[in-house]
Amino acid sequence: MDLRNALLRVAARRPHVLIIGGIGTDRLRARVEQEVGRRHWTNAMAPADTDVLVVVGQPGRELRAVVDDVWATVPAPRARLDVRNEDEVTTALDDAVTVLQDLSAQRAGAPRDGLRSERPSVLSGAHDEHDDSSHEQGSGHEDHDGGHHHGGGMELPGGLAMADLGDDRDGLALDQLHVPLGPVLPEWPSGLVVDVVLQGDVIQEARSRFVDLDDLDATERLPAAARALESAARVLALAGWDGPAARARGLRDAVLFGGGSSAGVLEELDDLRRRVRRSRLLRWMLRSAEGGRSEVLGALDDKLLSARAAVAGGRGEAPVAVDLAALDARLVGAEFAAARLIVAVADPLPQPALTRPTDLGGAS
Amino acid sequence: MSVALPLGWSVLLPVLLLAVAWAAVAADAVVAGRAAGRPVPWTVAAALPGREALRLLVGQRRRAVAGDELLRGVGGAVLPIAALLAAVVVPLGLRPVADLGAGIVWFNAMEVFAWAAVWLVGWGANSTLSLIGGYRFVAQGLAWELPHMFALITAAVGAQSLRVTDVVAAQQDLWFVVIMPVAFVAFLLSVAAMAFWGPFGAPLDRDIAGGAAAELGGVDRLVFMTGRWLLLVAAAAMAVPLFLGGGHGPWLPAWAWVLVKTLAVLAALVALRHRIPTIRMERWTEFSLVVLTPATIAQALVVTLVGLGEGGLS
Repeated sequence: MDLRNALLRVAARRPHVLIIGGIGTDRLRARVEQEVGRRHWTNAMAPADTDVLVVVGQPGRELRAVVDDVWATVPAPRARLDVRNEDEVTTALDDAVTVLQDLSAQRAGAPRDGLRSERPSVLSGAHDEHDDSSHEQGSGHEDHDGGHHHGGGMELPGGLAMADLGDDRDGLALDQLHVPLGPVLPEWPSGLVVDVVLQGDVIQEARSRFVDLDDLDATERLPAAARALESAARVLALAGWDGPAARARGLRDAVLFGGGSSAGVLEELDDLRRRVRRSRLLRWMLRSAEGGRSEVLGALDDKLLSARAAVAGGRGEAPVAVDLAALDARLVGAEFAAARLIVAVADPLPQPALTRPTDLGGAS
Repeated sequence: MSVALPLGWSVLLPVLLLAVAWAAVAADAVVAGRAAGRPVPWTVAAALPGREALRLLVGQRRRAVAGDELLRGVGGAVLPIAALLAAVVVPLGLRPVADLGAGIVWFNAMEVFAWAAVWLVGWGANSTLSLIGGYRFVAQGLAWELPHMFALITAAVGAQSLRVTDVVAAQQDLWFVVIMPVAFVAFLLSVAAMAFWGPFGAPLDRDIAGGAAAELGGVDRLVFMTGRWLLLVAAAAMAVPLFLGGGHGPWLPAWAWVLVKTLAVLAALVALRHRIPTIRMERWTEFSLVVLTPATIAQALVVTLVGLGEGGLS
């Protein structure tokens, strides 16, 4: 028992943290990310790799259901926190370590190991059709199903539906998967969900929307500079360039929470921009005829430039509002990696989804 | 001629590989911290691999809904085993654990197991993002295998033997990296690609939430991630006998030279990793087939002609 306690204590010292927040939680999320980075903790990529689940802000009904789903798939030892305001961040993360180290609490709260009825994580993009009786709040999924029907009515064990068949871009009949992307995905805009139809890793149809739009008017938005830097950081992280991505996040934190003279921030921003422009490999990776990637690099530079203008005291121009229909149109035909970059660059503001005919592309 | 080490070394080999992998993970954390502008103290980095391993050891295992547990388990276990088996032909000093007549072919065959391993893990999780990760690795493997093979063959041609100890013996006077630099560079690149690591980490990348490993928790994740690092270490160690003169060198004993050179190769890979973004495999395929493959073929041709000129291939 003592050994177990000792092991837990050592293991809990550098937990991996998964942060979930709805629309309007960007500032609070940034504060949590800053604190996580300061402690040299790690950002988790998926629920399977998570020790601490941090829910920022006050999630609405739909997001709460998603959080519960994700929580059900986080392996013990684990801790779940709600962070409502910036003063709580430090103490909440301290508490998380205490919870992780508490053997009896972990025993009591551990999810049942390897059960059939366990729901797949939303984040991992598992199929979204379930008739899982253990899940009362499941309406969050079925509500917006958009009338897709899965082929043949056959059900696999575990309540997963079979994939559809459909013609791919080469005219071959291939499996189609209906997968929601988000709202819990690394480097993803808060609260965004894109329901896509995938063939292989090519997106055939896309429909994006924001969850829990009830209090849209009260939604807090990041200042223009911080928003541009956040979006740039996402693009860099998705391009797999972690160092500059972390630097962009550091600049975002400096803009949001102070800590660094304006001149210092400007200098570092110029330095970052120079590195991004000079990287021939990045240009090579982002420039591609397909999937709109050629625009990604230009947009990245624009974002850094507009952040610079905003920091320098000019009135940062308001971000160009990308409406969700335009985003959907651009996603169709993109392969997965390109689609992720397109979403990160577009960085749509929370807005109600347009009402559109449900048979967009005739999936069913 | 067989100069294999005593059997006891086969027990020591995993320990050695793990020790080097530990050092590589710690160095990677330090370099990552510096690149991010948030330096990680040495003390924290040195304890990091152990702490992460412990975290996963006490962590709960995890099953996917309707996942294929058998395939996933097999895939995860194959990875570290393949790395160990690949490493048996690497001379620790001047003698390997197993001095196989076709050691170079054996090494490549063991590496290719990684394809199956990552694919099975990605498939077995029954999750879309894991599957995309698996697909990415298969495509990546197909793209790098050709230049990788030609790089290996070039070293074999230079020594006129597939036995790794013969390759080392042939470099007593001149390291192969001097006469076959293109093959060396191609080997280093494909080594990182084979371990789906660093710039070639797309199968496990952030955009697919960890990809093939997205659904792994607890000890499954530990085995998979350890296998990946072991694969990288084994392949980096293989660069030493193939191109860097193996245990040959002044002053130090042979084993020390192998260690120093292996660590140098790993250090170069780690330093490079944090300077460049991820290389997408659809771009890499083009480069690999259009540039790297012809370049390595030309390299093999040059080495062959030189060998013929010096008195013919036996």
